[in-house]
Amino acid sequence: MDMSFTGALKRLLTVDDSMLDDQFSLADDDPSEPADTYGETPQPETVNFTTAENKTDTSKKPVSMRTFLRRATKEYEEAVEKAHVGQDDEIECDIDEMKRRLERFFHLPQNKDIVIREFRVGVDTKAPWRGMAVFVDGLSDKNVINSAILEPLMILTHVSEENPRRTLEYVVEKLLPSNQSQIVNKWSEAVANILTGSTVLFLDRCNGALVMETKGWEHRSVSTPQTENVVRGSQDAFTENFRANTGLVRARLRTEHLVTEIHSVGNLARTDVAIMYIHGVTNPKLVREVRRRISQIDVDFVLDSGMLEQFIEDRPSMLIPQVMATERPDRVAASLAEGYVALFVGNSTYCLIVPVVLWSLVHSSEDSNIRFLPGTFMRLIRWIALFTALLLPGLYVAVTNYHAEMLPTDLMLAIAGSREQVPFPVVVEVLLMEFAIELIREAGIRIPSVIGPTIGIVGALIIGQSAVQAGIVSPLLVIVVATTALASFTVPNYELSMGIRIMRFAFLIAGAVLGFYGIAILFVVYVVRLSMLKSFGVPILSPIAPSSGASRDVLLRGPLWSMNKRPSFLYPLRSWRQKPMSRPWSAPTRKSTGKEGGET
Amino acid sequence: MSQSARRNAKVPGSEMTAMLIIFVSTNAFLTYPRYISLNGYEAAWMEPVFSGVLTLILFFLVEQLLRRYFKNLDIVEVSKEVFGRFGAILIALVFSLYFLCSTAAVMREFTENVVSTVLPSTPILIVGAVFMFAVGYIVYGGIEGICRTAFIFLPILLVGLVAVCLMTVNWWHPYMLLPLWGTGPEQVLRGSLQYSSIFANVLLLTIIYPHVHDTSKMRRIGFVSIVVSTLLLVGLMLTYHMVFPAAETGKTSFALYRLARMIHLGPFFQRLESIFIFLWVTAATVRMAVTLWGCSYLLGKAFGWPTYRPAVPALVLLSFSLGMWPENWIQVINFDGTYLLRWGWIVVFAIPIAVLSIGAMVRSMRGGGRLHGGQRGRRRMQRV
Repeated sequence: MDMSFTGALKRLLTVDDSMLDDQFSLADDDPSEPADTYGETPQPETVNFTTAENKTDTSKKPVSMRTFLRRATKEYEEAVEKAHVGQDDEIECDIDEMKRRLERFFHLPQNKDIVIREFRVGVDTKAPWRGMAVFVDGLSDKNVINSAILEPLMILTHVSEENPRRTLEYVVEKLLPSNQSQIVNKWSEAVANILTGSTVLFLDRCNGALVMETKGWEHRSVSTPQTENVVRGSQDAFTENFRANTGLVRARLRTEHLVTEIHSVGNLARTDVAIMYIHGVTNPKLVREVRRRISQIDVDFVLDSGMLEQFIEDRPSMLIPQVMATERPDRVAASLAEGYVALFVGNSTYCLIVPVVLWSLVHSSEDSNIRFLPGTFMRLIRWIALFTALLLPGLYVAVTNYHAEMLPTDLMLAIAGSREQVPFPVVVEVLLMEFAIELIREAGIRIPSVIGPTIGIVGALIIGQSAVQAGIVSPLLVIVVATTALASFTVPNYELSMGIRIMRFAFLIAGAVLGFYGIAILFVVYVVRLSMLKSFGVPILSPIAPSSGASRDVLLRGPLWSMNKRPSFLYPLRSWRQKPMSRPWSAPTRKSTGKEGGET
Repeated sequence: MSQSARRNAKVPGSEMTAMLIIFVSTNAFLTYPRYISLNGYEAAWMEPVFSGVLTLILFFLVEQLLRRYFKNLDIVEVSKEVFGRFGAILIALVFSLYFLCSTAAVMREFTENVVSTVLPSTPILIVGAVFMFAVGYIVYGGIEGICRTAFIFLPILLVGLVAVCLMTVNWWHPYMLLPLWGTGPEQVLRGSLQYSSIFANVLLLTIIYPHVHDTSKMRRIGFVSIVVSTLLLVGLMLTYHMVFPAAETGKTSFALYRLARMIHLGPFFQRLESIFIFLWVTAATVRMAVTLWGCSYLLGKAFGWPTYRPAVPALVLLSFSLGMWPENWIQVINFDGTYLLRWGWIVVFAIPIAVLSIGAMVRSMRGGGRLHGGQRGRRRMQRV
């Protein structure tokens, strides 16, 4: 007891900063020391990634923008070059040298994901023929490797002659039953294929490698859409499998003219990007532009379509998206048939469609599946909802602050009565409620699903009823904010909906400061901004401004049989999508075209 | 946008038509109804008709001259050919000054309207500054952006003006349009000429001609824009005079606002003047953007600037300062009525026609009458 008391007293009176000494810091690390030095494990050949520029970069000496850009570009290019050093070389003949290279490229033996399976070809070969199969554990299908690569080569192959043809071509033609195989000669190709889940076979005295398709990692199966639900229409959505996604589109759009080009983006880790279009329909200039933008992306890593979108769209600083992201294969198929270009990115569950016009962001894939009158009605509702979501809080503030005279007397008195107990100005009241709604919305996405239902209770009771009872907000305002929130959920495109959420605050402030005048000025400025905005060379307000006399499928939904032409703003190679008279069997149609009685 | 793309920026006919309609129709919100009402009384509605017909004739004349002698050239380039560089600068300065004063006057009139009707407690400087910022922003977008904006907002203008006219139907008194000739045919005709400067189509034609996508449609553009804007003005004046007696119509400076205030279609549709702010703002912004663009573009052409855009902020500030110079609204109205409206026809009709006529004669005498300056015009064309 006495000792513990003394110890406590000592601790109280002395300063112990050993905790600070123990803290880990990256800044004090010696960058020349490799990250994988541990134990007695043998080290592969390493490359020093720390460039001279990186070492001196800590100085805060101001430099001109040109110098900064030149230095940063050089530094980045050097780093990229070092990361791939030796990969541009041709594959050697000696299998031991091949193995050494692989160990260096993949940081073996520390890196446990890469499997190098060494074996000898044939059961009774007189002169041993060494080989190795390289694949990534977890990305490749082990059953395929065992039964279609190792078993045929090790057990079923009988190389009895003294000097067999030891070439990869011979192996492909005679020994391996793989459905997709390709001979590559460069290390970069071999490495890239290993990383995509293929198995690469190296054989002694063969200066090349054999790539066999063995992709087979775990992924979610095709399921229902998460953000683009419809009543009438297909119920499948893209999944995290690149090839399954392209297949979903191809299954719908069965034409030999559907082309899928595959490119890679990323210097550190490569991500597959597929450009899909219909040859003979899509304007080649558009395809070239898409290809150009993608090929010029110089980044380390692109994880998802959302990231790629920001690298290729015309003005990423705008709130309105200039690329349409969709998770619905039917929408992609319909867009491709119109002359758009679709982009699939790695394992992303969203596909990008370019170019985009503002009006199509308010369309839903369901629109084409229902008759044109209900379709038109639904689009009208969506347009009203869009403007409600954008302007209603601002208009409410403007009317109550500046233009109360335009309200009927009874309504004005009702509003005044409901605000009698509220201590805040209207704009503060609205901002409070909008903030609460934004919180609910964000929490609704992040909240763990097991406690999800609580969000409804919190939202309905605390934010709604209790806030009114406490006299913080007026009941009418709750209706306004709830209607706004409801309206914003009606916007079919998530990115557009996000933009409207943010713009709403700008209009709210404009309405609070200058009433209708402020809202009108802001509206004009934003329309001007939009009118000058382009998506892949297409004005985003096309075909209304500039007017190109396109089909009736813009603001409203025209009858399918009268929308004979593809959107003219895409300049498709085939402008007619159907014959001018697409219902020739119909009596009214025949009558209107003067063909009545022509045939029976 | 690449430089070459900017050089070839062309405005489609529909957008050009919309811009011209809005440019002329915006006068319905300004002092034009007041002055023609003072001048013609019950026959005030005839003045836009006569002015419109006169403009139409002159428009066709100028278009013919441009098409025949100066294809792909604007008024500054024609002036350079006829009067040399200094002559062209002088003419461009006259037009620029007119546009600048017009922008300043409209800005002050418009902001005074806003302050006196819907924002009585807001300082006019704030209202004006916000307005000029919006105008400057649009001008920065170039003639393509202005015309595209005009095309988008034209339906709002059309619906709004027609709505104002029709929603006052319960106050219409057709007999107030009598006597038909008001102050007399002579006075009405004189007023039509004096106040015809609101139809600046002719002057604008000589500036925007190289930027029209298809110059063969220029006649159609001119015809539709002049006829539609004339019809709108006539409709508004007829309604105004059917609602208010002629003696009163010359006393107010904001006819449309007075009309909008009269709307009373039951307890739920009354006092809708605030809603029409959207109409005034959109139309006035487009109009002022055109005049400010014209000012900066002409200066750029005259002095050989590669682009006019850097001048836009300075001109915005200048027109804002000019607009705020007069002590009160009355001074602005008097200045507008005395100089811009009354003598504006010299700038919008007389000078362009004189320059083009002299230019045509010079070309005819040189023997290269029908040659056009396409190549040179394209080479000199600024980034628009």
